[in-house]
Amino acid sequence: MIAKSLACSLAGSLAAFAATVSLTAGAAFAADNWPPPQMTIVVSHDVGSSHNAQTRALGEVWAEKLGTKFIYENRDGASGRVGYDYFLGQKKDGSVILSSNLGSSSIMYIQQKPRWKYEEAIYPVGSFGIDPGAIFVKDDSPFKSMTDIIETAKKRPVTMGISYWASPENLQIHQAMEQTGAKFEIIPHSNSGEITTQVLGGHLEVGYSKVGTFTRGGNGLRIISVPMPTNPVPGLTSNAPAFDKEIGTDTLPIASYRGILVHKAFADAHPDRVQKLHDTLTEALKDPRVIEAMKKTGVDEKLLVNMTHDQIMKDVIQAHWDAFAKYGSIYDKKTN
Amino acid sequence: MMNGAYDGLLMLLGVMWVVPIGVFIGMTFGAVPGLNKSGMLAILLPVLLAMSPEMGLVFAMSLYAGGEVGNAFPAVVLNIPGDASAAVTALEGYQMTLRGDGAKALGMCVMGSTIGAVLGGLASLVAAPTLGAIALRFSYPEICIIVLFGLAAIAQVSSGGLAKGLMMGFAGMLLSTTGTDPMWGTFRGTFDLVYLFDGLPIIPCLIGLLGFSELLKMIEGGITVNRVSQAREVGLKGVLAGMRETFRYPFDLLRSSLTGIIIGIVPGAGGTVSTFLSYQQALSWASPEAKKQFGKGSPNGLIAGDTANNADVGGSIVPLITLGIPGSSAAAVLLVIMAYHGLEVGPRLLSTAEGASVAYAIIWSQFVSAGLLVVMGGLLATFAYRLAFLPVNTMVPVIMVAALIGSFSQNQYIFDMGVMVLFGIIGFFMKSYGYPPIALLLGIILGPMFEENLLRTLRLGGGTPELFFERPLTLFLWLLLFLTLGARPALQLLRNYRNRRIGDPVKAQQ
Repeated sequence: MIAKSLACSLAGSLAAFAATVSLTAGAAFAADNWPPPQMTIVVSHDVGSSHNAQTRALGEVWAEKLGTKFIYENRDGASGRVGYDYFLGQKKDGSVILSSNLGSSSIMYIQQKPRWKYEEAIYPVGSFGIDPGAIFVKDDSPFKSMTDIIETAKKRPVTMGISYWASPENLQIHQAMEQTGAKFEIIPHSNSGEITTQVLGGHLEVGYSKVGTFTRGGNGLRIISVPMPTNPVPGLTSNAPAFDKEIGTDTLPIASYRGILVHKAFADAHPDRVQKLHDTLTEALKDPRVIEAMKKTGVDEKLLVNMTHDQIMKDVIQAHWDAFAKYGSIYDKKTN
Repeated sequence: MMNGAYDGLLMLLGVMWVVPIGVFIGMTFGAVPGLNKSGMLAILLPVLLAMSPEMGLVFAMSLYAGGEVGNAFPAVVLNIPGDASAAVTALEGYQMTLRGDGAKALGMCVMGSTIGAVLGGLASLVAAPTLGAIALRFSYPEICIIVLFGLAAIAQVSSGGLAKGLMMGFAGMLLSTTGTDPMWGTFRGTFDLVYLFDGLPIIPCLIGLLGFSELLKMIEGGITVNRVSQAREVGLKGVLAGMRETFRYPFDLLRSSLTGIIIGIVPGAGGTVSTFLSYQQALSWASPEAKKQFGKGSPNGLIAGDTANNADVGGSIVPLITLGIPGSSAAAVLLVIMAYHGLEVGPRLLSTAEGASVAYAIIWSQFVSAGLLVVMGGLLATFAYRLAFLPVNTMVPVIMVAALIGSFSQNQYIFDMGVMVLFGIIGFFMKSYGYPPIALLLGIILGPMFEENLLRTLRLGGGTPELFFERPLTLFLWLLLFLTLGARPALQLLRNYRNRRIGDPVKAQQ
């Protein structure tokens, strides 16, 4: 009887304690209810991608700085569209954010023309890395430079593997074709692994991917050109020259711009929280643990750049849209 | 290399305790319809990344191996394949269950899988660099012809008539064009629905056509009788009998293992193709008597699918280790773990002491996993087959819930459940009117791979199909395809002709 009474009393006390803790926590959460204890990062790339690996490498430390925990949802497909549409269908309270390649997704948006409007639905908060484009050949390829490739491509079509048809790489290479008179037979693929396999096997003469691909398994291959204004990672690319500098063209800089985005409605309602996301992201990128983890996934420390919203919109999104406005018809032509 | 192999073995001993856990979790996850290997590895990725590289990789390999066996259980017992690579298992295994050989079928799946895993592991241990070099020989036309092997099975499994089979096969290929086209990124038949942007969801189609349609057939047949009223051999005895019987098919085991290994090393082909190709090969080389059993619970067909499926695991890590290129989506997760821990990948992996040790630890772990597959798989099979004896009125809700969960689990879209029900209804009518659902399924599963490799071949060949006929490997594959399709009928014709010549009308008619 006594035991039963004790047990009841103990249970009552525990329940009261639990209720108090719950109420206190609830009050604290209500006072400053963001970030929630758990947030979701929708990754618009597949589990095996560099983007996913880098998002997770960042997420561990960023969550700590932000005071939350991240869970990840990979929603890939249709050039990132699946991830964007899925993200836009989630709660717009800042508990769900999106990690995406800003350059390729801007092309996806302008080419696929979804029902939602970019500026009205999406708000880029910052970036956490740039992975420059890389044009590569097999180690024993007769091509020694991009000039060699262009000269050959002026005489006959050179086969080139790119990630997918509606990609910024395709725009850039079409710009180069127009400006030089070269001709490439462009074969779209679904991932960089397929391109490297085909180049390694000698089935394709040239491949077009990102520098990060090589640090994750591009052996037997040689980077021949970096389609950026200057090569930001000479050490990772055997000092390959910048595309435009070598060829004398004026083309779109190609890189994967790893970005973090939120719903526009959340950004409009809570600019302070968006600022907090940006600031903690900057802090996380300076953390030695992130620098080390990113290095392992193929991103050099100096490419861990957190761009502002305005920089992203002007230098990445708008730049891609402008290039598309001029060359976008190639996506419909489907020929070279 | 020998040092690397030895150090790898030592490294494995330090982390070997995770292998049984991995195999068990993998088998359990694999048994949940709809949770495929890459999905399972994605869910567990945070855990895998938190471990030391060797432990994470060995754990991932164990999960992968366990998952390949786990997906056979719902396929055999409920006719609900865990993923597309278990479609063949469902096709033959479930028929064996219906005739009272469920325990035996599961025993065969487990033993076939184990032998496939051992031979796949052996291939990656002794011939990884050579196999890696072979993998590079395969390009778009070769992969396209490999897919044709699988598609050829449409004609061979069309028990209701060739015309019906071909009609369904083409319908499946047409349906498979739903989504973003693989070359130009154009949306086709998506109705602006995000659920269809990435194509028709395969697993709901699979579950609907095979499992849910069966459920509707059960309801049609009355819900008062047991699906299986009498078993020939039950319990552990039945499972062990199945395991023993597996060894009566040595040629199927060897051929299927080889098929699994070869397809596994080709990046972009994958486990599903290997099971269909292996099944098609088993069908092509089966004796006339054995051939009659296909689609009705053929041990040859069952072994062919499961053995190839597991041999494929060993094959798929070869390009990962030797070239840094994952051979499958599950192997891509292993690559993420390697990259996360800063391991050198590609040829450099085997050239550094640490990298070689890790690579060989992964390879050795396959043998430990294989041993555990027999023990754990056998034990699980001992209990799992009993589900087949539950009365239909109990099983209908069980299968319905399993089918719905299975359709939902991969993408977590309610829409996918609807797709499953729709394909279940289509499957029901197909079965009722003698149209083979497997032909539709083959078209849906293999169609996208065929299309993208066909288009790439044509584009690389400047718009002409010449690449299909000018490379030695493509010519060899065409010859092999011709032989597997035509050799037996040709031999039979020859035999008939000879018998007629010597005046033996009885033999001539056989």
